[in-house]
Amino acid sequence: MAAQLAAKQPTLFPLCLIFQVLQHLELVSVALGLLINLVSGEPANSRQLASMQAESSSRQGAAADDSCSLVSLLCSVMTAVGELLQQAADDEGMSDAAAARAPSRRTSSAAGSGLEDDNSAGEASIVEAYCAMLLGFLVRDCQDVAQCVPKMLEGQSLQPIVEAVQRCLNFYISTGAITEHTRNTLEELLQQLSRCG
Amino acid sequence: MERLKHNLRQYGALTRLGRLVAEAAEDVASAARQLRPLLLVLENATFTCQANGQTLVQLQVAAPRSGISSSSQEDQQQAFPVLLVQVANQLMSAGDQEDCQQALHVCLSVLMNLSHQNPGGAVGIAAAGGMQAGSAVIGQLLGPARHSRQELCKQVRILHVWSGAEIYSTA
Repeated sequence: MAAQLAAKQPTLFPLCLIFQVLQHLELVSVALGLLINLVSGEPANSRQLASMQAESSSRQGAAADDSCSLVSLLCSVMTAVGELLQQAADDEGMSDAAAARAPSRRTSSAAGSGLEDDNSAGEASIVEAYCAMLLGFLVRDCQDVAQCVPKMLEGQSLQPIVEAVQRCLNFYISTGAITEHTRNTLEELLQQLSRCG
Repeated sequence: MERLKHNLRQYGALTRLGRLVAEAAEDVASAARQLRPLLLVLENATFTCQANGQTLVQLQVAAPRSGISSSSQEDQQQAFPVLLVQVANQLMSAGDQEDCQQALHVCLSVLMNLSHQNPGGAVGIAAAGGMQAGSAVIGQLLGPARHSRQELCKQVRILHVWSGAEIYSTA
């Protein structure tokens, strides 16, 4: 019965993605953080990363095509987490959705806390922000990526990336948890993304 | 804390820890539990500390002996970031064991610190396959195989919280 339900409700697939994100929150965050550092100052690295496939581990019974482009996976993750955060904001009844989606500080105790944790949505906002930053750098450096990414995002534009990066930047500025170098880098990125349209 | 970070570098503890990591890297899967505390110290020592990060980026350590012929008398040296990428790859290959996952998290954190605002570190880590490693972690944890029907059925019972419907697991 569960399989039939899954077949009828494709929206369960983004839920699986969210489940995996929350299960492996810290590992996903640090992997994204590493990739951001590697591409933010090196356009050549951006172009190399943009062409990579995000290969899943091969397991018995898995589908033949177990890889997808890293870019499309990042777009899917960002979209899925963004919907989760919007749902959380709606449930809280907060009029300022941006406040509800401000990234929260990561703590080591949050690892693997699961769906029951009230901070899950807030912690997941880090993943949304990091995906947006990474996609932003790839869009900045790769013409191909700049053309295909908007088609994979809500509203068919780069606006979700711009908004997520801006929210993250505002949060870190407000908490004083950002170096001048990083602030300048993100502000330049936002300017460059606005030129990409 | 900043004084401690300085002293770790000044008195050679940072270098010594890097070499201990290299020794443990001879058999990463078995040494995951020992690797984690070593990497935790390095993570904290390099957090917002450019000097410590630079020290580790430039550190040369012995490459793991596996794959090197027994007749070779000379230890091969490699840059510490290269070793870390190798350790990360081996930890990923070790599967879902908790010790390996925890060690992998800290290993990637050290790599993140070594590449933060450090062009030399970023170039070295990228050249050693750091982007492939990071991409592989994301792919393994979130990639398409996770969305197979079998995986979905296992997770449906937990997902009912989100869908708001009564769903009976096939388990």
